[in-house]
Amino acid sequence: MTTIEERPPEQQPSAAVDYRPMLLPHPGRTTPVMLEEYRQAGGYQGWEKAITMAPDAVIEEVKSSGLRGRGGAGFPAGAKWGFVPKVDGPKYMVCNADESEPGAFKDREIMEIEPHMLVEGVAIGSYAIGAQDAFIYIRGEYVTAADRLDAAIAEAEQAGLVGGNVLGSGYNLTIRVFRGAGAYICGEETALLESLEGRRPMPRSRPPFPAVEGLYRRPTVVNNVETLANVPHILRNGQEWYQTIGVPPKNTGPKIFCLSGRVNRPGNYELPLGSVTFRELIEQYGGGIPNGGAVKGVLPAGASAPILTADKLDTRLDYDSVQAAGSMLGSASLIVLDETVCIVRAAARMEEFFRHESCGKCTPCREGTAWLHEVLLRLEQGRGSSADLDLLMSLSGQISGKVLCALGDFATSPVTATVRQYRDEYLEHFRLGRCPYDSWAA
Amino acid sequence: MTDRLNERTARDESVHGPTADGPSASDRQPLLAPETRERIAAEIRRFPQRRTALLPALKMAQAQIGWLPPGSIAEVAGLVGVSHAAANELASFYSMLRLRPGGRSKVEVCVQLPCALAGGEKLLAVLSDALDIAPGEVTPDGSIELIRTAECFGACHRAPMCRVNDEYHEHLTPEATRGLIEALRAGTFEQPGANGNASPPAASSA
Ligand SMILES: Cc1cc2nc3c(=O)[nH]c(=O)nc-3n(C[C@H](O)[C@H](O)[C@H](O)COP(=O)(O)O)c2cc1C
Ligand code: SF4
Ligand code: FES
Repeated sequence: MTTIEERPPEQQPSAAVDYRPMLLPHPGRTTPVMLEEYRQAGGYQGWEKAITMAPDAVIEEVKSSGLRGRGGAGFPAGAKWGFVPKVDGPKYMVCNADESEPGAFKDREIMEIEPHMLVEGVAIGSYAIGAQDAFIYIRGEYVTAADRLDAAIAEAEQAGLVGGNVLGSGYNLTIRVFRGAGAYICGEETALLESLEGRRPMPRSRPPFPAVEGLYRRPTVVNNVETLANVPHILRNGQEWYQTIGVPPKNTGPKIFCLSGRVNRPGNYELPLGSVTFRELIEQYGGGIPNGGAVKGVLPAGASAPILTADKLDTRLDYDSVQAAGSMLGSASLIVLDETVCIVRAAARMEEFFRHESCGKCTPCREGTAWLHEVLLRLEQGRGSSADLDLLMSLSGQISGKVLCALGDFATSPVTATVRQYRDEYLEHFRLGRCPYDSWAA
Repeated sequence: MTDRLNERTARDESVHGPTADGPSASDRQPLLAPETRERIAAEIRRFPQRRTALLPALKMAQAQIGWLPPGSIAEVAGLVGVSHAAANELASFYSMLRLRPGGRSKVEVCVQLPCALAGGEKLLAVLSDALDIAPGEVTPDGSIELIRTAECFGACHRAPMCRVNDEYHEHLTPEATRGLIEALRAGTFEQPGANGNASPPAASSA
């Protein structure tokens, strides 16, 4: 009979940086902040201000704030809004709430606890780009979050904050929640649009970009939940204030870091971009490694970006520093691996994810992810040779850059980054003819 | 565990195969209850274009029946106004849509990396022991289906975890796991109709 070890429940640590969270201002809370409470805390003031401004002025404000998209690519939000052509006819604002990256659980908490913050952000964004219809595309498993968003939208409609003739301005806005059905690829923005159109969610080739031809072939902006949750704060307090948070000009604002894996206190930690290093986050917020262990490596962006070795732990957590260290901050889903973890097994598990989630449209991705997974499984069991390492690298080379969407590139990073940086551990497996590690820790 | 790669072949056959359309929906007793058809009609009205309602409509059909028999997919296609093949393409793609009947409670244990590093594998083993079925199997009485999944459910910080039908069960300490097993055995989470028996539509929305 197998047993499960006790783990400490999620706890909030004492702050190492003097900062009051704004996206998740109630750490540890499980119930939603509904309209009355949200308004008491200053909620919808940003929206009330925005709707008295010209849409272009709203875009300017967000541009100047330096806000970069929190969905992974870090694309400047204001600039994206500015790409929407000033044409007549329908335009759409689409919030990407498909959050399915291994290690990511920040959007879920925003939506479950602060649904109105997202509704307000969606409203401001829609107004700025001239959209009267907005969609929140939420992954099907997030039933609680979707129900709470529906409730928040209903409250906001009741209060005249969204719906017809918003706040007496003559502007009409319909926000709809659309629930997905389990497919990571729907997080890719063009696959998401296909899904919303009732088609099989396979990415589109670009150009045209969604800003020009998106949902129903109309101009569309797709933004991540956390991106839009920042917007009310920018409008309410002004872009100058926003720029005092983080490291201006390119890494401004708060960021939620999802910390998971081999740490004592996994959880969401909201901090200014660039205010802490990996080491500080893991030790001072995450409570360190179980049993006083040592870090073997950290995945900064879930399964999708290269792992960083322990000598990179003093890298600051902002877009540019993580990139300079050889990876990507992406969605900031940090998975910590300690010395008890087999790197080959970890790579195989991540590859299993991509194999399962490949949409199948491009042959190199569809076939390649299956191959990579099989080879990794074989290597983990000690049934491989150094020729297999070359095979892994050449297979990866045949996928990366030769496929339609970034999933294919993501799928190669668990392989190439581990083979390059932990080669000895791979070699150890076939030298011994078995995996030198115990079965999964914990 | 289901593998999208292998499934895809089967799916493509089901889309293009000679039996894909079968007898037209109108020749048979409808599978969708009037309430479900109503809900689907309302969903179609909710969106700027009808076809956007296709995925929600399939979920509504599944909420009633427990899975998506071919006839139900055809009925949904008819209501939304798309081809049976178009509806099949979705039904066969999404992991939450099920083309086969399963247990009345579905227990999905996450073993993606963050969960695996925090007890997910052990949780799966404990449940497998206690229910006396391997992952991928259904208990002989049809009540519980144990599923191993490498998808991440956005609950990595509360691992080990599983989903039982649409509910998250997180922080599954040994004690909490024992409680969950008891509740499973007592049928607490069973959903009517999940074995394909005709039944009233489930209350939860798609
Ligand atoms: C395979 C894949 C999965 C993605 N998943 C998500 C996701 O779950 N949520 C998200 O916001 N962006 C995701 N993205 C990025 C989106 O395509 C898009 O860049 C993002 O939603 C834009 O929002 P932002 O500019 O506010 O960051 C994904 C991209 C790829 C290639
Ligand atoms: S790269 Fe992979 S996921 Fe992306 S479109 Fe091609 S097959 Fe689909
Ligand atoms: S890895 Fe299991 S919920 Fe994220």
